[in-house]
Amino acid sequence: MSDAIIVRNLAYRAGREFAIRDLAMTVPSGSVYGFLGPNGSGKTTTLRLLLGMLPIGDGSINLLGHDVPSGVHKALAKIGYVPERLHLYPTLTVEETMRYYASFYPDWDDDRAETLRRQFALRAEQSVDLLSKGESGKLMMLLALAHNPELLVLDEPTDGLDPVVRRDVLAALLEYVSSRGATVLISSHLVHEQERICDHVGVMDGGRLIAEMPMTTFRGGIKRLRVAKPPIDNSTTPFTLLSRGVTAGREEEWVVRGWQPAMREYFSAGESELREVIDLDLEESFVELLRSARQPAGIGAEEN
Amino acid sequence: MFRQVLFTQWKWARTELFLYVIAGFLVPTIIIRVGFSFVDSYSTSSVLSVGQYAGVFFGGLAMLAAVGLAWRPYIIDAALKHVGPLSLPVPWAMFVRLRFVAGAVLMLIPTIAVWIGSIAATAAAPIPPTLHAYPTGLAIRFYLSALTAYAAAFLLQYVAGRNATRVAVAILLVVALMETGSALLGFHSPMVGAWNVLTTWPGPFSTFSGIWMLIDV
Amino acid sequence: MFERGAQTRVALPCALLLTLTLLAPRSGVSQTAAEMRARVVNARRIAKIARDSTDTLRHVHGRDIPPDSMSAGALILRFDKEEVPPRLLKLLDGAVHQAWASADSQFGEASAAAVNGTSIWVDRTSHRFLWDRFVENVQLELSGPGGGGRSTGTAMPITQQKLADEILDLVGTSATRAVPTNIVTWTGYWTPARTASDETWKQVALDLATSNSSATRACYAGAIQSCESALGLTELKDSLTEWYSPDGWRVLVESYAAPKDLLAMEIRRDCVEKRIAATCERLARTRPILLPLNMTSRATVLGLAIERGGRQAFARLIRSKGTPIQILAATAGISADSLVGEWRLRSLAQLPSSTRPSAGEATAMLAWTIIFGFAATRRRP
Repeated sequence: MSDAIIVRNLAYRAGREFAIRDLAMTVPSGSVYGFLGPNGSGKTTTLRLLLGMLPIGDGSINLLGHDVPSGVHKALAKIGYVPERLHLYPTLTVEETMRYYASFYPDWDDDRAETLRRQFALRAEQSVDLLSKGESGKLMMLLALAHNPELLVLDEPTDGLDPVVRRDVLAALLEYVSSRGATVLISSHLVHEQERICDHVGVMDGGRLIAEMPMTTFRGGIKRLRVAKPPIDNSTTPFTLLSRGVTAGREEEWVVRGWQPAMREYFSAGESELREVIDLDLEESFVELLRSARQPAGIGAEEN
Repeated sequence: MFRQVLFTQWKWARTELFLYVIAGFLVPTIIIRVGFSFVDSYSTSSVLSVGQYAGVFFGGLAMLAAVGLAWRPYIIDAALKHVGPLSLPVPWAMFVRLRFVAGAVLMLIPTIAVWIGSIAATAAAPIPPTLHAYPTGLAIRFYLSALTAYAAAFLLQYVAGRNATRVAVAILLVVALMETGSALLGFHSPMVGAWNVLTTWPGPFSTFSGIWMLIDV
Repeated sequence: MFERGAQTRVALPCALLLTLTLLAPRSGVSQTAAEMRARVVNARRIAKIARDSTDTLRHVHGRDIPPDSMSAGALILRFDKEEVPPRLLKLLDGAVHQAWASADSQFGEASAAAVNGTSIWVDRTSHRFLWDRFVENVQLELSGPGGGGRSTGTAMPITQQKLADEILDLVGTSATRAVPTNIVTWTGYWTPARTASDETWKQVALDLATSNSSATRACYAGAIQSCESALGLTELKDSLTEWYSPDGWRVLVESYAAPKDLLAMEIRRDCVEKRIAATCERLARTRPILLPLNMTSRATVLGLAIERGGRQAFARLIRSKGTPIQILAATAGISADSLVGEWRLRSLAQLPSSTRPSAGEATAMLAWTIIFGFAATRRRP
C-alpha cells in the first residue's frame, strides 16, 4: 500500500512561541487517519502546511505523489478540504456556492453534489449567511466530497455540530470512504469519535508528533495495571511505563504502553504482585500518552 | 472559473454598484439642471463652471468606485483567513488575477451609467455654440482613472494586507500635510515634487488631475 | 459574519479625502480653470511689459554702466562679471545668441532697427519667494535711448531658453518704438519678437472659444469679417451692438461689480433677472466696451503678419501708414482677409485637448493598471 501523505523533518515557526519541529508523519493510502491533539498543539497548522497554505520552514511534504509546494495545486484538485473555520461566501446561495466551487475542480460531479445536497437537506436557494452552523458544516462537507477526492482533509469537521448533524456528516463521510477507498486525514479533539472511524492515529502535542500507530495498537497497547508491593526500580520493565501513582497502602497504579499478557512474568519474578490489568478507552489512552509526553515516567508517581 | 469569480464579486458589490449607477446617471442631470438655473447660459465662463463641477463629481465617483471594488473582495477573504482561495486547485497569483480582472469588468457598470447619464444631461442643455459636451470623453476618462485607482488600491490591499487602511491613511495624511504646507507656506519639498510626478503625466494618477469637463471648449 | 463595517467606515472617508486632494487644482495641472488663470497671468505679464516703470528707469539711469558686455548681432548684454555667477554667465551667453537668432528671424532686415541701440543690463541676481514659488530673480533691464527701465525676473530653474525668452520680451518692448502708433495702441504696446508658441496659440484659441461676444462666436464659426470686427480691425458705428448680442449685453452687465445703491440694484435686476434688453443695453453703455479678443490674440495677428511677410516684413511695418488692418496686410504681403483667416485656423488648431484622454494618457493608464495588477499577485497572505 502506497502512502497518501509523507512528511519528513517538517519545521515551521509561527512567531516566537509556537513551532512545528521535526515532524515526520505517514498517512497510508486508503486509511482513515485520526489526527489527535489538544487545542493549540499544532494540528491545524500542520494541516495548512500539508496543503501548501503556509510556507514550509524546512523538511519535505509529499501529497498524493506531488511535492509541496511545487505540485500542490495538482494535488489540491484531488483533495477535499473542510477547514476549521468554514469558508463560505455570505451573499451566495447554496447553489451558487456549489457552482463557484464546481468551476475550480475539473472532476466536480454535479449529480453527486445534488445527491449530497438532498441527503443533507440543504435548500438550493438558501442564502449561505442564513444557514445554521450545522447546515454550513454539511455544505462544506458537500463541497469537499462532490469532486470525488482521493484524499479528504478534515479539520475538526464536526466541532460544534449537534449529534444528529454530526451523525449525518460522519455517515456521508464513511459512505464515501467505503465506496471510493479514499484516504481521510481527520483532525479532532473529540477522541471517542475518532475511535469509531479511524484505523490509524497520530498524536500531536506542542508542535511535535508524539505518537503514530495503527488504531488497534493504540487501543490495545495502553493498559492500567494495579500492582501490589511494586518494585522501586522500574528501569528494567519490558513495557513502557507512562506513569505510576500510589492508590492505597502499598498498591500502585501503573499506566503502560506496549503491554502483552506474557509480561505478567515480570511481576511474578520479583516480590511484586500484578493484581489487575485494566483496558483503557481511547480517550484515557490519549490523556495518558499526553501526560507521559509532557512528564518523564516516575515524576508523576512521586507527585502522587 | 472567471465567470463564477465575476459573479461572486458582482453579488458582493451589487448594492454599491447600484448606488454608483444611480449617482452616475442622476447627478450629471441634477448638476446641469441646477447649474444652468443659477448661471447665464449665454456666458461661456458660467457654463464652463457648471461643466467643471460635474467633472469634479465624476472624479470623486471614480475614486470611490475604485476603492470600493478593490478592497471588498480582499476584506471578505481576509475575514476568512483566505482559506478558501488558498485551498482551491489554482495558484494564488492566478486567483488574484481573476479577482483583479473581475473588478475591472465590474467598473464598466458605473462607467456606462456615467456615459448615458452625461449624454442625457447634456442633450437638452443650452450650451453656447463655441462649447461642446463631452460625455464619451468623460466616460473614457472616468473608466481609465477608475481603473488605475482601482489597480493602485488593489495593489495596496493585496500587498499591505491588514495594514492597508493604516498605510492608506498615512499616505493621505502625508499628502494632505504637504499640500497644506505647499499652499500656505510656499514650501516646495522633494516629496511634493514626488507627488506631482504621480499626478502629472505619465504618473498613475495623472488622469485625475487632467481635464474633467463635461462641457468644454 | 464579517467585520466589514469598520474597514468601510475608514475606507470611505479615505477615498473622499484622496479624491479631493487629487482633484485640487495645482501647478502643472491642465484643467480649464488653470488655463483660464494662465490667460489672466499672461495678460498681466503683457500689461507689465507694456508699462515701463519710471522708478526703475530712474534707478537704471542713475547707475554706472556695467563694465562688461557680450553681444550677438545688434543685441548687447551688459553686466558686471563680479556680480554674475559663471554658471549664469554661460547661460546668458547662449541665451543672447539664441535671442538674436530669433529676433533676426522675426525682424529680418530691420532687426537692428528693432533693437534700436538699446542694451540689456544684467542686474544683480537674487533669491526670494514669490507667492508659492522659490524664484531666482535674474533681473534683466532695458537701457538705451528712449527705451529702458523695464525689467524681468526669471523663475527657477533658470534655463537658457527662459533667459532667451526674457531677452526677446525686452527686445519686443524696444521694437515697439519703431512701430506705427495706431498698431502699438491696438496691440497693447508690445511687438512680438519671436514666433508665437503653441501655448500662446492655445490661449488665443481659448480666448476665441470663451468670449461672450456674438462677433467672436461668428468668427469661431468661420465668418472672417466677424473675426476682423472682434479683433478691433474694422470701423464700427456702435461697438456694443456690433460686438455683442442682447444676451451678451446681459453677460457684460453681470460681469460688472454689483452696485450698492438700491435703485441701481433694482435696475440691474431688470437686466440680469428679468432680462429686459433695453435696460441691459443702457447699463452696458455706462462702461467702456472692451475689445472682445484680448491683447494676446491681437499680438498674435501682428506676429503672424511679420512671420508671413518674410525678412522685409518688419521693415514694411515700420514704414507703413494707414489703418491697422491696412498696415497688417502690408506687413504680411497678403490680403487682410487671408491673414485673419489664417490666424483663425492657426488658433483653432490649438484648441486644448478636451476631456477625452489622449492616446499617450490612455496607454500610460493601462500600463500602470497592468503593473499594479501584476505586482498585487506577487505576495501571498
